[in-house]
Amino acid sequence: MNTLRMFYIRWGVVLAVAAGLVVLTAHHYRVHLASFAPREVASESPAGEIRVIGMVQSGTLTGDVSAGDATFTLAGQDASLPVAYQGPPPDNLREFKTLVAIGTWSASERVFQARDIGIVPNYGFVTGAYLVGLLPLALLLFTMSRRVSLLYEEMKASRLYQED
Amino acid sequence: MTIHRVIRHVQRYQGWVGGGAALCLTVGLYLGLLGSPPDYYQGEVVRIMYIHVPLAHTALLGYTVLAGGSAWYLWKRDPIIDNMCHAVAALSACFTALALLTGMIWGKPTWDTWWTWDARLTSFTVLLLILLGYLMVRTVVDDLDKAARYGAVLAILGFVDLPIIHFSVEWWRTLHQPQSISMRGVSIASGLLAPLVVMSVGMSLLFSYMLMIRTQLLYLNRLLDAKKGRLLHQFHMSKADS
Repeated sequence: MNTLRMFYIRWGVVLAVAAGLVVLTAHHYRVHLASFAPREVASESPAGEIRVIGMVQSGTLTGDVSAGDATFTLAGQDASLPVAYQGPPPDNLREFKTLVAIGTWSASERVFQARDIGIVPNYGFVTGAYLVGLLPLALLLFTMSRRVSLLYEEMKASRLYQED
Repeated sequence: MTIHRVIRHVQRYQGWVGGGAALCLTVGLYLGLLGSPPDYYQGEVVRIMYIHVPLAHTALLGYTVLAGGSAWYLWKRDPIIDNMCHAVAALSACFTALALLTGMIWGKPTWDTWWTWDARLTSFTVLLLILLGYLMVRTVVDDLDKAARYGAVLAILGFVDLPIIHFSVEWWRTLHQPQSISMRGVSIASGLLAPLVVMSVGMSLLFSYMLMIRTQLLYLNRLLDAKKGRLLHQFHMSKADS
């Protein structure tokens, strides 16, 4: 088969796999790791387990943090949310700390029942690092492979090289 | 005209190496981005490790191949080895630069700075400068044999930077974390280790595949130039005869 045609078929397969991986990752992050702001939780009352990002408001943290039992208010830009936390003793729970509370929203009690607390994810840095790390390599490989295919075509056309 | 036996071997095996690289990188990216837990302290940012560390390992592996190949070239003077060294230098420079860039992106959220003159970062930058110096020698010196010899000597001399890079985190108190995998054992959670190993294998295979492609590129370019030069010479000779 034509060397250049094989080259385009190979790269078509690579692009299809890469696109599939990107779609799968985006879907996973949207479904499992999407976060709500306190205002969205209060107004939309989302069902099931969700993640809420906000800052622990000063003077609201009460209870026994070291025992994993505390209440506090999580503040967003224009709204705040009362949170009742019960779970493993958290490392990051302190006033003025921006964090992610994972749990369920009780619309009747107007309290967010958190079971876990995590640090704010930096997806921008992760995405940036993968794009910076992989895109130049893919472009370099594409350019080199295409050039090699063209050179073989040129050699065959000029009868410089006979295939075994 | 027949083609060099090394290039014939490359043609035969490059599909397997490329396929292996694609498979490992696909599995590694899946594990790194979706299948592994966030780190206890760093959170999601730890996923940068699965691209940064394999790039850095592969860059060092590439330079080791360059130094070994350069010694081999000085001994055997085989042009195909020179083609391979020239190809590996360009790819190692690319991998080194990308390792530095991804490290900078990782440094900002973890160290709160894009750059610091830490021993590991500085010695790695020196490696990039050595590789760029090698490529400059290959470009600036017109005589191909001289360029190959000067480049080989520079590559062998530059090899002294590799143990400095490796031990820099132990010899100096640095901001960069110590080795997670060493002769003393593995100090990394098992959930984070699997994607790191798979990505490292995948990146090494990708480097090998790119090396096979680039070696062919340089070889074919030189072959075509030589043939065109001969044809041009014959053309001028026939003109002179007539």
